[in-house]
Amino acid sequence: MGDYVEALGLVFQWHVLLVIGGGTLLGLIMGALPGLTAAMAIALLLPLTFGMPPVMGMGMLLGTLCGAIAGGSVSATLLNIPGTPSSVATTLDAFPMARRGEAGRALGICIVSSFIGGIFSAVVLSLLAPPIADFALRFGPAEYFALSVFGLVIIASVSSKSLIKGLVAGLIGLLIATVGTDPVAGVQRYTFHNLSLLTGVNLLPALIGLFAVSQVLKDVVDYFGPERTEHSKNKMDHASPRWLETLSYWKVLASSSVIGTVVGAIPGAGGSIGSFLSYDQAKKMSKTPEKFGTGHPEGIVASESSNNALVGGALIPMLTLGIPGEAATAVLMGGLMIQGISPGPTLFTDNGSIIYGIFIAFFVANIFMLLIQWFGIQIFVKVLQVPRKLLMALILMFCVIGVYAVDADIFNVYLMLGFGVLGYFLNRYDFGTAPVILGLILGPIAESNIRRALMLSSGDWSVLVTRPISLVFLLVSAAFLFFTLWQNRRQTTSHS
Amino acid sequence: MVKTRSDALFHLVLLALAGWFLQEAWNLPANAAGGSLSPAFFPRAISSAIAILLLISMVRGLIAGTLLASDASDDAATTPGWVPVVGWCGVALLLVLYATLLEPLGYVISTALFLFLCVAMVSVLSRQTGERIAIGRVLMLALFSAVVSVAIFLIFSVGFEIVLPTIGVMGV
Repeated sequence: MGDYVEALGLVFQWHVLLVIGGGTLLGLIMGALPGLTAAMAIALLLPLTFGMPPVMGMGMLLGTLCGAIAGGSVSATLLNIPGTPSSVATTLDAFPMARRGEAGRALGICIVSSFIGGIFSAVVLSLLAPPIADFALRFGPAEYFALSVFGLVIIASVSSKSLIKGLVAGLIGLLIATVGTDPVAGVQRYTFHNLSLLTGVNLLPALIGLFAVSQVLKDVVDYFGPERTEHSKNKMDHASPRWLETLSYWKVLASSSVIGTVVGAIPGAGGSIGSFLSYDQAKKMSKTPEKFGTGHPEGIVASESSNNALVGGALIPMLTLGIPGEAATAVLMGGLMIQGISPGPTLFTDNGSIIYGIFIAFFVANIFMLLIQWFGIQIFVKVLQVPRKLLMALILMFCVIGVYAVDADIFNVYLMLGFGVLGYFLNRYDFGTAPVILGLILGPIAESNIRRALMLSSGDWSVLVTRPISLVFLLVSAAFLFFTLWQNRRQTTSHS
Repeated sequence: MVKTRSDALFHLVLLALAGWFLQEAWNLPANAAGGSLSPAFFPRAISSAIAILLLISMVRGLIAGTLLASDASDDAATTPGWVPVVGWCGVALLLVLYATLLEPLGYVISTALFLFLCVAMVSVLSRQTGERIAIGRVLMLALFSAVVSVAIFLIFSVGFEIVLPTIGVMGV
C-alpha cells in the first residue's frame, strides 16, 4: 500500500502528466499514419526518456503505445488502411460507416471502445501482475535460462511466416548479444578493439535501426509503387465520443475486452489475432450478424475495445517475467532496460513504487488517450494530409539525432544504419525483426544464467530438467515448436 | 524455406556472416572454470545453429523448386523497376553522408542538407514524365529544410538540454 501511495506521488506531478499526455498525442498521430507502427513510435521516442525518471519515461512510452494503437483506427476509418496491424478488423465496419458519411460516428465509437478496453486491461494488469511476479520469485538460474528459451521460441514461431526463418532471426539477435565483454569470464568477444563495443551492442541503435530505419527504407520502396496512399475522400462529421451508443453494446464490450486482455497476455499472439477473435465472437453473439461488414457499430466496438485491451495484457508477461509478447512490448522492454531497470519478478520487490507508478501511468495514459481524441481528433486527422516524402525524411532525421544525442558517439549512428539495412532485408524475406530484438535482450540473460546454473551443478546439464518449473518451460517450448512445425506443414500441404 | 533467387542470395550473405562469426569464435578461449561453459561456447553454438538452419531452408527451397525462382514482378507498377532501387540506395547513401557530415558541419547545416536532398531526390524520382521542376517549390523546400533544422536544434538543445554537434559559429 505504501508503494502505491509513493507511486501516486511519482505520477501526479504536472511535468510527468504533461509528458504522458505528450507521448499519447505523438502516439495517436503516428498510429494514424499508415506504415508507422507502434513499435516504431516507441523506438523513436526512446532517446527522449534518457534524462527522465523511470516512471516519467515509461509513462511517456506507455502513452505512445496506447495512442498508437488507438490512432490506428483513424486511417482504418477514413482511408480503409489500418494504421497499425491491430486495426485491421476495424476497417471492416468503420470504413463502410465512414463511406455512408458517418466517419465522425465511427471514430466516436472507436474512442469510447478503445478507452474502455484500455482501462479494463489496466485493472487486470494491476490485479494479476503482482501474484504472477510473486510466483516467479522462485526462479533460479535454470528457470531463467528455460524462460529465455521459451520467450525466443514463442516470438520466433509467431512473428515470422516460417519457423526456420523466425528461429534464424532470434539466433541472429543472440549472436549479436555475444558481442562485448563476456559476462562471466570477462573475455572480449567480437569487439575488434573498438571501445564502443566493449560493453556490447547498444540497444538503442538496434531498436531504432530495426524498427524505424528499416520501416522508412521499406516506405521508400513502397512510395514508388502503385498503391501510394491517397488522401481521404471521406468527409468528417462531428466526432465526439458516442458513450450511450457504445455502452448499449455492453456485452460485446465486455467479451472483447476480456478476449483482448487474455490474447495480449499470451506471448506472441499479437494484436490482429485478438481483434479478429473478438470480432468473430461479437458476430456469433449478435442478433444481427448479417450486418457485420456493412458499417455495423458492434463490429467497431469489438475490434477497438479488444486491441486496446491487448496492451495491458501484453504488459503482464513483459513486466512479471521479462518476456515481451510482440514487437511493441519488446521495444518498450528495451526502454525499461535502457533506464537501468530489468523487467522480471525482482522489479516488484526492488522497485515497488516504480512498478506501481507504471501501472498508474498506464491508467493515466488511457485517460489522456480519451481526452486527446475527444478534443483533438478533428485536428490530428489532418496529419494524414502530410506528404509522405517529408514524413520519411523527418523520421530519418529524428532517428539519427535520437541515437547521436544519447552519448554523442557517431559509431552508434553507423550501427543504427547497419541495423536498419539488416532489418529491411530481414522483413523483406520474412525473417522478421522482433525475434532479433528479443534475442538481443534475452541473450545475456540466457547465457549468464545457463553458465551460472552449470557452475552450481558442477557441469551437470540435467539441472535443466530436474527442476520442475524449468522442465515445464522447456516442454512447453518444445510443444510449441512442434505445433508450429505441424501447422506450417499443414498450410504448405493445403496450398500445394 | 527459400522462396526466390534474391531470398537465396540473402541466405548466402547470412551464411557467410555466420561462417565468419564461427571462424572468429575459434580464436576465443575455450577453457571454462568450475564445470561451466567457456566464453567461446555460445558464439560457436549460435553461429553453427544459424548456418545449419539456413542450409535446411535452402535445401527445402531446392526440393520445392523455389531456390532459383525469379522475384514476382509488379505488373500494375507505373514506374520503371529501377526507380525504387535507386531511391532506396539514394536514401541509404544520404544517411551515410548525413552521419559522416554531422560532426564536421554541425547539426543545423548537415540536417538542412539531408532534409533538402532526401525530399528532392524522392520528388525527382517520383515525378511524372514531362513534369517540370518549379523553382518556387525548390526554394520552398530549401526554406522548409532550414527552418525545421533550426527549430529542432532549438527544441533539443534548449528544451531537452541535449548536446548536438555545432561548428561553434553563433552557437550552431
